[in-house]
Amino acid sequence: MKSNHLIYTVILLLTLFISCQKKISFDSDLISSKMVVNGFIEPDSVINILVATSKPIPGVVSDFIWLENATAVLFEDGVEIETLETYDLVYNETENNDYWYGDTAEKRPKKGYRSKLKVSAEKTYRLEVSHPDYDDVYCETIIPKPIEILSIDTTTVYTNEQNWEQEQLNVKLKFKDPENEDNYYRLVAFVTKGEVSIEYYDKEVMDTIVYISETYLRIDDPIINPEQEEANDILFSAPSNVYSVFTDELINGKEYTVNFDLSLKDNYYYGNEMETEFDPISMGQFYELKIVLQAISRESYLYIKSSYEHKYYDGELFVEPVQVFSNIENGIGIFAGQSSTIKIYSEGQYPIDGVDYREGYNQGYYDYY
Amino acid sequence: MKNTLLILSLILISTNLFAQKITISGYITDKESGERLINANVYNKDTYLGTTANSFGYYSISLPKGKINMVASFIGYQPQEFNLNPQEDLVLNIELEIRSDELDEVTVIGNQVNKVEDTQMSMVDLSVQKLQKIPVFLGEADVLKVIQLLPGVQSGTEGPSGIYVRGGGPDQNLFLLDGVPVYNASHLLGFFSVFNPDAIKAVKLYKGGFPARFGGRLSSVVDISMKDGNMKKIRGNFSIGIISSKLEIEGPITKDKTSFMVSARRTYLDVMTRPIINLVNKIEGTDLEAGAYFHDYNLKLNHIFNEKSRLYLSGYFGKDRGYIRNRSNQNVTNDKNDLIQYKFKNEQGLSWGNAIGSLRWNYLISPKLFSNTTLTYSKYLFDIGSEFEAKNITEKETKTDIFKYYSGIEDLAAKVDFDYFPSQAHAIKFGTSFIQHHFTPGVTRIQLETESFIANNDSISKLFGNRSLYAQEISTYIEDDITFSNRFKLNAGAHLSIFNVQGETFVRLQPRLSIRFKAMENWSLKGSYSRMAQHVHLLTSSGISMPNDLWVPVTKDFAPPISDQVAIGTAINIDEGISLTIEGFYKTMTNLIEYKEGAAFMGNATNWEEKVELGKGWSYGAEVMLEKTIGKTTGWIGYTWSKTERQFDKLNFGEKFPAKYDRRHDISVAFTHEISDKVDFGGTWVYGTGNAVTLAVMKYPQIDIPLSNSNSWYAGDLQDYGGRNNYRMPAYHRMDFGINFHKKKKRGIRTWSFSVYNIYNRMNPFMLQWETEYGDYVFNNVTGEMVFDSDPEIVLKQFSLFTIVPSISYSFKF
Repeated sequence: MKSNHLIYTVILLLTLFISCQKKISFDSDLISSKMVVNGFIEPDSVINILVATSKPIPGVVSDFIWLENATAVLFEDGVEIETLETYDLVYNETENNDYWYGDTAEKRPKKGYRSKLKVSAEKTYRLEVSHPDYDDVYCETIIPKPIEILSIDTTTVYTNEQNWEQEQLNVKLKFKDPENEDNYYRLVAFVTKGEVSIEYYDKEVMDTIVYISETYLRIDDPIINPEQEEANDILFSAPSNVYSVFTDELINGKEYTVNFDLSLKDNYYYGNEMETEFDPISMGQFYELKIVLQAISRESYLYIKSSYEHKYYDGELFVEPVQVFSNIENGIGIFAGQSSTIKIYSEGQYPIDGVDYREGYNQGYYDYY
Repeated sequence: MKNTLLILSLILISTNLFAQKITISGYITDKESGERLINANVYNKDTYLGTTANSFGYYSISLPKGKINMVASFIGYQPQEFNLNPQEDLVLNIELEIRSDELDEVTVIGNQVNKVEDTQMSMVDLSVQKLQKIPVFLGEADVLKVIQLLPGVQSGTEGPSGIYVRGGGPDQNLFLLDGVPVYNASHLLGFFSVFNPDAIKAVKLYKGGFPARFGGRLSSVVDISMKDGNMKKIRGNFSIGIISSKLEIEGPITKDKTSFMVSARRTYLDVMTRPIINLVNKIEGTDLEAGAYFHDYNLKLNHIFNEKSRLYLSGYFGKDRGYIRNRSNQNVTNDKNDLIQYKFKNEQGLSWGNAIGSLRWNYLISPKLFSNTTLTYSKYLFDIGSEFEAKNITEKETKTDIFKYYSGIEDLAAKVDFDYFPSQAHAIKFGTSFIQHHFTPGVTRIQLETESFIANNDSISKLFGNRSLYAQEISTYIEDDITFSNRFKLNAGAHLSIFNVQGETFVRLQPRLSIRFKAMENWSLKGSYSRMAQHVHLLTSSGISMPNDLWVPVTKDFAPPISDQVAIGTAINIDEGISLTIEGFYKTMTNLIEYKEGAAFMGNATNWEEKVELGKGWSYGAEVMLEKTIGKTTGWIGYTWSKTERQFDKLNFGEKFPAKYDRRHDISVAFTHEISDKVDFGGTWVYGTGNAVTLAVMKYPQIDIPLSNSNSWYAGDLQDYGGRNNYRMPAYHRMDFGINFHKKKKRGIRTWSFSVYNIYNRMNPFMLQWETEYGDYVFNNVTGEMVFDSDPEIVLKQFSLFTIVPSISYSFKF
């Protein structure tokens, strides 16, 4: 955005002595709080949703109000099934959570709404949510059929740079896109790994740290990450497809193989002596790789994409703001379905008796915004 | 081509049909300067049937043999009457004399076209004298700023001189300077236009009912003619204003044979701000230079070979530049404890400009057939860059980081136009043109050498982007202004364009029709339909006219935008020099493009198609204009009610939304009044509904994306806009006032002009933004800490560009 800064500078230069600002009143007709409904649903799981209200931007900064006395009625393929019940939300309060979410912990909702019914793929679910203080809202989504992974081929690749060896996995994932329908996908991978923490000075094994993390996928695939212009990559900041969502626009009805790389293990070598002295596998070193291909609904695709880009461009002066997709009629938020197909690869054993484990930070977490 | 031959044959046949009549033809010129008068009228005084001079001042009228009282008139000039009894074709060149104040007690400044008589509707013919008397921003008379005051034309945001006509975008206006397209009509980021009023003879704005001879843009044509140059005497003027000075000289090289006109102007904002920057440097201990300026030049030569043949050479060159430069020194000790001296230089700058030229040859094939052959060249180039130089004085080594980005468009064109006057009932125009477009839609050069960018001394030097893209455009047209009777006239025609780019050919036939029915001598009803096609897109997302907006050709996926416009209206001559026009229009536009949400406005154009969406638009409205063109007081009151919407499948989730410059109400008042020949003054007042902007109005909680790393039901805030362009800025209104004091001097007339822009200091909105305001930071006696004394509050801030701006200028006309 170097050039943009230059243009801003020139504009400022021109208007340095004549521009001014003032506080103005906001057209309050546009401010009317709406009910917010948020929930993603998966087959063979109950429905969990949250209900809140939106708050006007102008005014004293305040927290959201989470609504705990709303009525949420669930319909399956047009037939009323049940009214969702409230339940207490439980948070796994750990040191790490404080680290990541410390400032928002107080703002989190305390109660959610849950169904008794476990939902199924290929069915349409509709929610009608009402509350005495707000207009009734409606939302609907279809849970897509899980997509079969036809094959996964993996190749391990080692890279070594200045004693830092990375074990990478090249993955070729093949699936068939259903014909004559619009399909939306998301690709995710998780690595759960135990790494042996060694105090090399005293040659002492401290403990085994377990990391559970979404791992970064390097995807050079035209349907997921179309080739970016190199100059734009260098000069202009642009959002990348961090959630790896994609459509079947270019592969409709075809078999397709997605090719991507991910990091499995990092090893720092101190020399041959150390290598022979310890056996990391027996001390608890392991990894488990979970590759997930999700068939996601159109609503889910639009929400994931637009909410990321919305935050990415927030505050950019000359960029048209990105609106976040919502499928809540009369209200706002998201109610969307998806189905996951999972493949697991592992090495080592977890847990091993006698090994001392402790939780590590989510090393793979990266700051999206 | 077959069509053209057919048309020519028909014309020849029709010529024979009218062979019983004689033809009177010639040029109508200003007696004092020899300047040819565009649109002057020639008519039979008994029947009031007649014709209008073309854009080169040529007229041709076919009449039955015998006695005729013929009148030549042009508003602001003394009409001339001729009692003729020609038995054969007659060449009659007419020189009209400006009405003198002593004779008429009025100053005539106004429209040259009689709106009741003319078939053309949705057209405004601006008098250059008028626009020079209207109060102006910073003392700089500006064609486009005056056009912005006309009904049906929006100005966009505060300041810039871009125009938005009947719901069209800024790229949908064809600016023609002596017949050559000008791609970027803005100086100083749009605060001034490139058209120097001193060099201009006539300005016409077409908003609808487009004659078939025009094509290439959807929404308007601004047809500007440069002065030809005085054929009789050396004349000129110069002026010195707050931010610029200009000079214009014209005169004969060979009297009544060859003339010239040159004009030049330059701003000196950079010079004026230099002392302030120097002061800042002194206080801050910096070495900073910064500035912005523009300069432009107009040139015209014209030569009369003989009565049948005349050559015009005209050119324009203009350039804008803005820059920031700073220097610093640094001494560094290296690992061997040696002192290394560095000198750093950092320079950032941008520049843009147009260069255009045209060579036009008028040739009179016969008294009934006038031809004009034109060769044109038009180039627009924008570049922006930064250069960082690190000079190691001790080791005599220099490393440089360069970023340079440029884009442009270059046209070479040839065209031939004919005016054919087979009879009094027909005035036919036809012609054809070929344009070779050369697009350079965005090239980036990067050279990185210093350690701040690269490791391991591997310098980078690369060029990215699309360096050249060629396209060819052929167009042909025919139109006939047919007079059925004194009451009923129509102009029918068609424009055919063929555009070829990257193996794709787009053929678009664009029919045009304008009808006039004169219900009474001073009242006519009009209607028009026109289809327009455009073969270039302008990639722009910023609210102001940025010079880095990219021109790109249409493609297979982004086919030529098409507009269809229907307009109906009425024109009434209320009194001498007072006219009222009321028009309603409905316009549809297809294949419009807009940047995707979030797409940056800066970038290379090789993949521009991935950054834009395709959609459609509608605009409809009504315009009223009450105009007074004769008398000591002249001016107009204009009102527009309009609605403009867009719909894009992938923008705003497919829902319709108001266009950025959708304005429900727009009022403009402009007047000038002459107290005496020594003092005149003028004023304007404009009011417009606030612009539509996309402004977040609510916040709501975001849910975690499933399978992401976080473990929370609340993943932060999202903003709800309630739709694209959902919010209206506060209304825009402003009043300007100016007064001119003239004095006759020995060698000419000097004028002192004082003007005030935004006289009641209205803070008009340029941009809106949410800001958090905190209370005072105070000491809390209880906690013993510094705290804010109130909760933070989010407020809406409006940013304005110009408050009250007075200006003064001095000019001398000789």
